[in-house]
Amino acid sequence: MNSLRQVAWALWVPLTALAVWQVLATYGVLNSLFFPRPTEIVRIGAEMAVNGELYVALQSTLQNILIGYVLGCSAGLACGVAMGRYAAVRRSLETVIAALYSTPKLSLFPLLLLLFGVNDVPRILITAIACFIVLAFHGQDAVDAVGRTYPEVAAVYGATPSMLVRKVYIPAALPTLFTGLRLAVGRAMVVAISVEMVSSNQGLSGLIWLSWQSFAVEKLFVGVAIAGLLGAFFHVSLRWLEKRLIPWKTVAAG
Amino acid sequence: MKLRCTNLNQSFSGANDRVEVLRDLNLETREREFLTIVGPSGCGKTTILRLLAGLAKPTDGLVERLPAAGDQSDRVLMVFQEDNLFPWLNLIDNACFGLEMQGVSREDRERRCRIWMERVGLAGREKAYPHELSTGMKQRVALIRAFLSDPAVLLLDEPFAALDYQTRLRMQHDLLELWDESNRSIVFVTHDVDEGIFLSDRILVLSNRPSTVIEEFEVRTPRPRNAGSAPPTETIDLKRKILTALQLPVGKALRAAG
Repeated sequence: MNSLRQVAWALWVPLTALAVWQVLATYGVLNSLFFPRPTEIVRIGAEMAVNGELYVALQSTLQNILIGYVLGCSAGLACGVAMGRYAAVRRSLETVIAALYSTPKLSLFPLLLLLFGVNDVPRILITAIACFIVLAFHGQDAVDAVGRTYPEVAAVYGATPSMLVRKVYIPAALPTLFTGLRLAVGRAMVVAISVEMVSSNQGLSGLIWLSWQSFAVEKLFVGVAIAGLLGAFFHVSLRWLEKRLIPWKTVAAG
Repeated sequence: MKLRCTNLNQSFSGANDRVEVLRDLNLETREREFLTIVGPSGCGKTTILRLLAGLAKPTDGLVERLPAAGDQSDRVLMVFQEDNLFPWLNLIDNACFGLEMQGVSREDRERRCRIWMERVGLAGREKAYPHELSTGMKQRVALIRAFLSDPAVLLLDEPFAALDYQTRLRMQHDLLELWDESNRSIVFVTHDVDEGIFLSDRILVLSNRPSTVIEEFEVRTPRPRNAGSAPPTETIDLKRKILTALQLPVGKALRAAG
């Protein structure tokens, strides 16, 4: 019941907007040349799913996002933990990471293209870099969030170093870590889809871009909708995982 | 087990100078004793407990643990001012944390824990997380966690300071009950003189910083004690002496009775 209600809360705004759009498009208030009816977009989308067009586009984009995300997050986390643990590492890298945090990652992309050529490698790398920075930043915060007291209490009760890590450091760091993981997934999507747009005609961006050029407006909307759904899917999955792994933290409703 | 401090000195470097917290402090606990330390705020009571617990090293002087034949363990445990339960563990896992570290099986430690949980009115809340509980309940779990680990000496750092009056009375009662059954030594730090008189066998009064023990009082009220059981004149007399030692104004009522 509770989860049903959550779904209802999450969906009523987009569904209402779609319904209004449908009515306006049907009665000609919206120019259907630019705003085809949502039902028509869904029909075209289903067609593309059946003939495999959608699958090809998704596969290429997802591959870049996922590989970049996993690589970037792992390396970023390692770096963040090192910064949190060792003052020397922190002092050396803090400013660099802070500078990179606010630099648009896209500005590095041309350089990567020069170095690696026009293929998936620079696209994955730039996604990984975006995730790396976020996780380095929040990984360090996560170590800080552990604090001094809990390890001290555990030590008083005779926790061994390995116990300390498993029973104190990891659970104490998890909530902050998840903030980083959630932010990184958004960054990964934005960067991966943006670089596709400027450097290839594959993937979701390829689909969106080619649809624009061939004035296949329905397909264009399908591409945008899939990108949106993908974002929602990642967000919901991470929330789900967070609830399983961090049951002690009350996640705000929704 | 007895704890002995000899000529303890402790100072910390502050922003522009060194702060001397303890100067030539000597104390020794007795077997199965409830010892209370009272002192002006900021006089270094917590520092003493941290030194006794081995969480800090003295600048100078000696902290010794003198084991005795009847010791249940060689552990010296500390319960802090805030409960310090692990937010990621439910109540029973928090309460059993010490036992888990000692390698006691889950079944065994939960069985031992449930007895205590029931006694302090936490039965049925075993799976709750700390943030779902009141401060008093959390502090009870922290006490159970300490007692379950069978410490030879238990150090309590103003454990009831954050509680309302009624909860505090209940907790004092619970604490005496827990202590009575286990028969280990307790070193209890408080700024509440009444609390000290109600609970302890002996009370040490500390001076202002740099602190040292300036007075020592035996509390002879027979046990078991409960609120209102002590002969009022004795208690008031003792309270007057302690307040005087603390250089606090002694009220009219107390003066008249003394």
